[in-house]
Amino acid sequence: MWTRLRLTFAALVGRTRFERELADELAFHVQARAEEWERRGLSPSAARRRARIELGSAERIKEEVRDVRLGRWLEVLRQDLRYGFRVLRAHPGITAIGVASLALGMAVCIYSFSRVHADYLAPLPGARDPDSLVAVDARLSYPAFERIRELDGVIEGATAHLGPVPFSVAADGEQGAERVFGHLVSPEYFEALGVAPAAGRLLSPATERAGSEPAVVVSERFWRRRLDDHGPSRSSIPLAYRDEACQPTKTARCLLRSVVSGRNGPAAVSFLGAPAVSLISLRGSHAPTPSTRRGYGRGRRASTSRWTHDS
Amino acid sequence: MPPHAMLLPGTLDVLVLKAVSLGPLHGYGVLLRIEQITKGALVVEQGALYPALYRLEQQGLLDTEWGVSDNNRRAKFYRLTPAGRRRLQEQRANWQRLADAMAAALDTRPGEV
Repeated sequence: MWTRLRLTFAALVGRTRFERELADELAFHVQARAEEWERRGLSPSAARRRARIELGSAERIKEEVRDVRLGRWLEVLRQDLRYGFRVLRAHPGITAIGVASLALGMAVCIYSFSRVHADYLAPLPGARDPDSLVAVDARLSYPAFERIRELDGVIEGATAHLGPVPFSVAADGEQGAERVFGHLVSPEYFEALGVAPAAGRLLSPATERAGSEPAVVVSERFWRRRLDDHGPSRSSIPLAYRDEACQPTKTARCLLRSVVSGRNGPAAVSFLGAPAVSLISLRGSHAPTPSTRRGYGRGRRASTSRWTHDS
Repeated sequence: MPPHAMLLPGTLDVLVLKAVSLGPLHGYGVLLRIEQITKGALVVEQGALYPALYRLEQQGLLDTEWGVSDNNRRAKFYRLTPAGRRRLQEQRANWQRLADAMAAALDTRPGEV
């Protein structure tokens, strides 16, 4: 087995050497045979001719030996490949279409698999201790979530989020509003995931109190795209959320009320098994909206509002 | 010189093994040695010899080495490997059985059946 592999490999890789040795061997044979005929009285040229005729076609012998050494299929494969390349070169149009379709197919596959990997398989990027996160796929009312959050000794902390949900955002002095996706989260969301802001501050517990304005955390990408040119210290964004309970479009607060009253509970509650201390910056390709490990995917342009507790 | 007999299929390999078992030989030497040990009764088609040699080498029955021939030229020498020696023993036993059976069959007379 090993002999066969080694010899086949040598014949493939050291093809020139293999061919040369085979030619030498056959030449030696003809020469030795010719000398024999000379001894028997033939002239040198006649002896040589006779020796050649006896041996037969050297090319045919070489072909047979190659078949033995490379294996018939390998030699056929080599010829087929060469033929294939010639045909492809002769028809550049069809070749281009084939290559383009293959490239497209591979691109789609690679894209979807990398999305699945990023969203479901890889550890949550940006989170301080992704392995300690547990996602609970249950819709709970906000009071139920609050009871879970206050459980002591079982979990390090809990945070709730709902999303992705569409918001309409209109910056000052612009005509029309833009639709972006974000998550509705409880105040300790970023703290629980161990994410630190690149600029400004995150959500404070005060924003959960009744009557307080909803606060928004935006991704760095969204900030650069929509808000940066309005100055770094922008403090409020006109924000609206469309919901069955709040027709037509009203302010975020309308929705928040409906969430808190239990009609539209958070989609998931995330438990966290670690203290929320982190130096991870939101500056990064993956930072927009942290979600739980089995989360809803990262909103492309996430702005994050939060629930307020309303009486 | 006795009349030449056709080589039966499969005989060339075992003849090559036998020839080489008597001592390392180059390809042409194998040819001469076979003619010698069959007393000229079997003639090897020269074109078939080299594919057979390479096939036996591929099967690990022969080993090769470049050396110098009697008349001081560079030649490729074949020698028997241990696996080749075992194969030769098996083939020898097979051929013996076949030859005995054929001889017995062909010598059978009407009265002996």
